[in-house]
This record gives sequence, structure tokens and C-alpha cells, in this order.
Amino acid sequence: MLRLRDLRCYYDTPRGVVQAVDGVSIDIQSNEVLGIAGESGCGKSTLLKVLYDYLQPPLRIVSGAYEADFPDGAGKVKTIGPGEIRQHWWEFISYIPQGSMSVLNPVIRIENQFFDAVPRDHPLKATGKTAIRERVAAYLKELELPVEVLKSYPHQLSGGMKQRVLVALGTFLHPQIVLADEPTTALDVVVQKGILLMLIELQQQMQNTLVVVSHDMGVHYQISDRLAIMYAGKLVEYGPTDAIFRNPAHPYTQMLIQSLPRVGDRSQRVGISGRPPSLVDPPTGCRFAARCPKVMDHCAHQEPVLLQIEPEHFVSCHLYGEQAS
Amino acid sequence: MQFAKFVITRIIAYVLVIWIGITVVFFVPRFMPSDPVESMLGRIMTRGNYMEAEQVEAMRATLTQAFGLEGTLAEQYFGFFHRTFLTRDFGPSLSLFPTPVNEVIGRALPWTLGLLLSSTVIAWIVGNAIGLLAGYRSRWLSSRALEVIAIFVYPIPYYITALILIILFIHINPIFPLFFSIRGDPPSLEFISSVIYNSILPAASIVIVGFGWWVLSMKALSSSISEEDFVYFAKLKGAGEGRIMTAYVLRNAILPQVTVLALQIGTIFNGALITEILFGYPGLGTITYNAVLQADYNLLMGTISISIIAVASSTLIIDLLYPFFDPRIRQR
Repeated sequence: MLRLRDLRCYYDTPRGVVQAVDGVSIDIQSNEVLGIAGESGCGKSTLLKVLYDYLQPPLRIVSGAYEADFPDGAGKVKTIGPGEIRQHWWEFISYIPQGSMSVLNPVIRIENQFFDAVPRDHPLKATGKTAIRERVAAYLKELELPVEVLKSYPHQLSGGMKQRVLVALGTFLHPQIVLADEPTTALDVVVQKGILLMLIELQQQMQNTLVVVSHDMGVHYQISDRLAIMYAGKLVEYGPTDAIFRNPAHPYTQMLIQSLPRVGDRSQRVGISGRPPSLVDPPTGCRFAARCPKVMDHCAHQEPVLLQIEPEHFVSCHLYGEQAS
Repeated sequence: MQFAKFVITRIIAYVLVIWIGITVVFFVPRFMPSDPVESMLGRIMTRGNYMEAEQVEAMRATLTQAFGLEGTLAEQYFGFFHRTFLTRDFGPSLSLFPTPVNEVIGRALPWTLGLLLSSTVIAWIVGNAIGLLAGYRSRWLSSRALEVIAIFVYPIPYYITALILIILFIHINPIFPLFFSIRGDPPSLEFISSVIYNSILPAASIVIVGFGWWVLSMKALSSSISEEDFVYFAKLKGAGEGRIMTAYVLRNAILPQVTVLALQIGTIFNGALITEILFGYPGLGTITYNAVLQADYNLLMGTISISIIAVASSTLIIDLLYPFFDPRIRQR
């Protein structure tokens, strides 16, 4: 569905080049829920922007390849890349943003915010506003959301309702790929669960691809089929979510999972000390070396490569594979 | 229901403002050390006309009545309100005796309102349009150039701009007339074209001085709103540039600008004074100036009262229009 090959995407800033996504290779399959985890500033959101083909200066693709399989409607599948993917926003690939509080324009009605998401050459656009409104209203009814929200302004909706509206906005044209950037951040846990269930149900109904970015490992545990862990612009581990939670290979993944609270376990949670490195001038070798509890001599100057340690489970760490020292 | 409550509170505030303003207008001349009747009598006497004592008394009584100074302070106060709102009669003008004050004001008011309202609104529209482009499209060369012009023009004092225009377009290149001259009668085309021709220069001076502020403030507003999440998300939605600029940036940035416009319309009579005197424009500013010079109390009270009512009314209108711009106020 989506193929990334050694993709490097950098921001040009006055302080230098920020290497936000640095050599990421992953295949995203159709009909799967892929989670992308990692702490703030590790490149998760940038990766999502690149997947969405929203490449605005200062962000640019430096090297590597990004391709998508686009069914052209005539039963054929075309390979499209950056610059072409954006032609099919919302009908092929859609985006559910973070921050339900501020992504909706406060002074125009919700329905008008739906109209703006219909691509210019989409057949719905030609049918006019009334037809789009009916379509959206029918879709909201399907999702068991009150149709009155269409006539409302954002300030009249609760945070959870806004996020539900955004999920509806992201899915009402039945896209093949839905990208969700921290869809449950800043919501209370009850609402979070509702949103996650909604996302999963929709994914199962439409049999499409859902990519969820979250720093919350609990969210990934609940909804992801596969999980990719990012650290400092690099993919450090990816594989089936079950395998990763059962057998976390990378020390960073292990620490992320250990930081989750468990029912019945009353011991103090241990955080990961230190902060991720600056992406303007990242360290040589393994980027996690400075914070790694299992750091070895050659970690600081030799970059680890992705290795398969069990079926479908890949990790990039010197603890595994033949040790070249 | 909410909206009715909003309208009623605004109208109560409106009545209150006018009441306070008119009360101040009533009391201030009465606190002045000079007695207007005596100074008027003195002026008439010094012209050398000999008058009998009875004639002087009769004159004094007439003047006292004309000034509304009969009876106790309370009677005068109620009488003043009665005259301002019910009979709308401010008595005769003293400098243009015996023309009633009403007629003098009635002739001048449309000129002032027409000139100042239209030029203030033009400055607002032009300034906000340029500011929006400069803020949203800050990388465009043309929007930067316009912003630089606004920054240069904005700090120039009003009378300098007006004098430069007079020197350039009346004395060096006599494109526009030095004296205000209107031809034709009100509905005719000749009348309208001569009004526009005579008003271009004073209007231009107000627009030039006014629009710089709108450019700068709108630029600041729209560039910060362009950074908002909902504008970013609109780009992700694939909304067109024009749509984002109008429905997303402008609709949000215009709200404080509407408020400031309402406040500025409230002060247009201040601006009227200098503009009208410099350009010889026959408006309220000119007659207020003459009324001060000639101690024409009736006319002065009339112009000030009218100004208060006009300012309060225009602010009320903008206030009542505001909910149509911002749904958050409409449905609170």
C-alpha cells in the first residue's frame, strides 16, 4: 500500500538542518492498523506529514523513496509518489489531526468545514452543497452522531464531540488510508476509549489502513496490529504489536513498555532519564546510546542496522545479530 | 432570547451614555466664571447702540430665555433635555442670528457624516485588505512593499499630510479647487459630481493618514491567525488559498478590527475639525470652530449634543451588527 525506502526528510532551519526523519524504511499494508510510537520530537508527526504528502518548506525529502499504490477506479493500481498523493487527499488518504480544541475554525459552521475537505475534482463537488450536506448528514447518522452538529459552531461542541466530528471528517469519503495524529491526546480516558473504538470500528468496516501516531503505549496496545517505535528520527523497532509487547527487543522499547502502569502492580514506575538528542546535530553511532542502560563500547560510533529477530519483528540494536567490533 | 437580552442591554447602555454626555454638556458652561447673558449684553452695548434700561432688561430676559437659563438649575436641566430630545430646538444661533441652530446644524451635518464616514470606511477596507495580504502572504514582494509604504505614511501627522496635499494639488497643480463650491441642486448629476470633486482631497487626506494603522494591525492579526491550528488544518484539508484567506484568516482577524472601527467612528468629529478648517469644508467642524470663536453658546451646545448622539448611535449600530460577524457572541 505505502512503501518507504530509506526515506530522509529534513527541515531547513536557521539553526541548521533538522534531521527529523532519517532513513526510515517500512511497508504499510492495506487493512492494517499501524501504530507509530515514540516520545515528543522523535519525528513521528513529521513522518505522518510526509506520508500525507504535505511537504511545505522548510520540510523537504532529501533522499529515499516514498510510493503509494493508488487504485485508479478502472480496476488498475497505479504507483504514485510525493506531489501526486496530495491530488487525492481525503478520497484516497485522509488526516485526523491532534488537538480537537483548535483545529476547527471558530467562526464558520461545521458543515462548511466539511465542504472544504471535498477535493476539487471529486464528483461530489459538482453536485453542490445540498448534496454534500445530505451525504455528510447520512454519514453522521451512520456513526450515531447527532446531525445537528452540522449547523453548530465549534464552541458549542464538547472536546469529545469535536474529535468525533474530526474522525467523521477524516472518513466520510471512505479513504484507503487514514492517518491519525495523536487522536486521543488531551481527552479524558472515557472519551479516549470512545474515540479509539470508533476508529477501530470504522477501520474494520472499511477494511482500510489506519496509521495512528501516539506517544501513549496504552493506546497502541489496544488498537494497533503492528507497532513501529521511533527514536530521534530513526525506526528502532517494528513488528506485530503482540510480539513487541511480549518480547520488546530494543532497550528503548523495553523502557517505554515498563513505564506503563499495570493493574495490581504497586511499584514505582521508572522513567527514561535524559532527553532525546538534538536532531540538528545527532550523535554518531546509535542515537540512543547516551541513555541506554545496556550501552556497549562500539554503540557510540557504529550505527546499528535493522535485523529480523523473529518473523516480522525487526530491531536496530547492537545487542542482536553478529557483533561486529 | 439571548439575543434579545443582548440588544436590550446595549440599548440601555446607549441611553445611559447619551444621558451622561448631555448632562456634562449642560453643566460645563454653567461652571464657567463668565455669564453668557452678561457677556452678550456687554458685546451689544460696546457696539455703541444706546439702550434704555427697560430695553436692556427686556434684552436680558430674551437672552436668558434663548440660552435656557430661566428658573432654577433643575428646571433648566429638564428644560434642556426637553429641548434636546422632544422639540429638538436649541434656539437661535447667536452668531448667525436669527437662523435657528437646528437649521445651521442640519445644513452642516450631512457634509461631515458623508465625508468622514465614507473616508473612514474606505481607509478601513483598503487598510485591512492590504494588511490581510501582507500578513497571510508575507513572502510576496508586493505585500511587503505595501506594508513598507504603510509604515512610512502612518507616523506622519495629519495636518502635514493635509498641507502637502493642498500644496501639491491646489497650489502647484491646481487640479482641485481652493474654495468649496457646489453646483447644481441635490438630486442632479451635476450636484453629485461636484460634491465628489470637491471632497476628493479632504477624503484622500483622511484615507492616507488612516489606512496605515489598519495595514499594520491587520498584518499582525492575520499573520498570527495564519499560524493557528485551524488554518494549518484547512491546508491539510486541501481548501483553496482564497478560501483559507477569506473564510479562515479574514473571518477571524476581522473581529477586533470591527471593534476598533466602531471606536474610531466614535471619534470622527474630532477629525472633522482640522480637516474641515484646512479644506474649507462646510461641515460640523467648521461651524463648531466658528461657534467657539464667536462665543455662540447655543450653536456650540447644539453641535456637541448632536455629536454625542451621532457617536453613540453609530457605536450602537456596530455593536448590534457584531453578532453577525462572531457566532460566539450571537449564541452565548
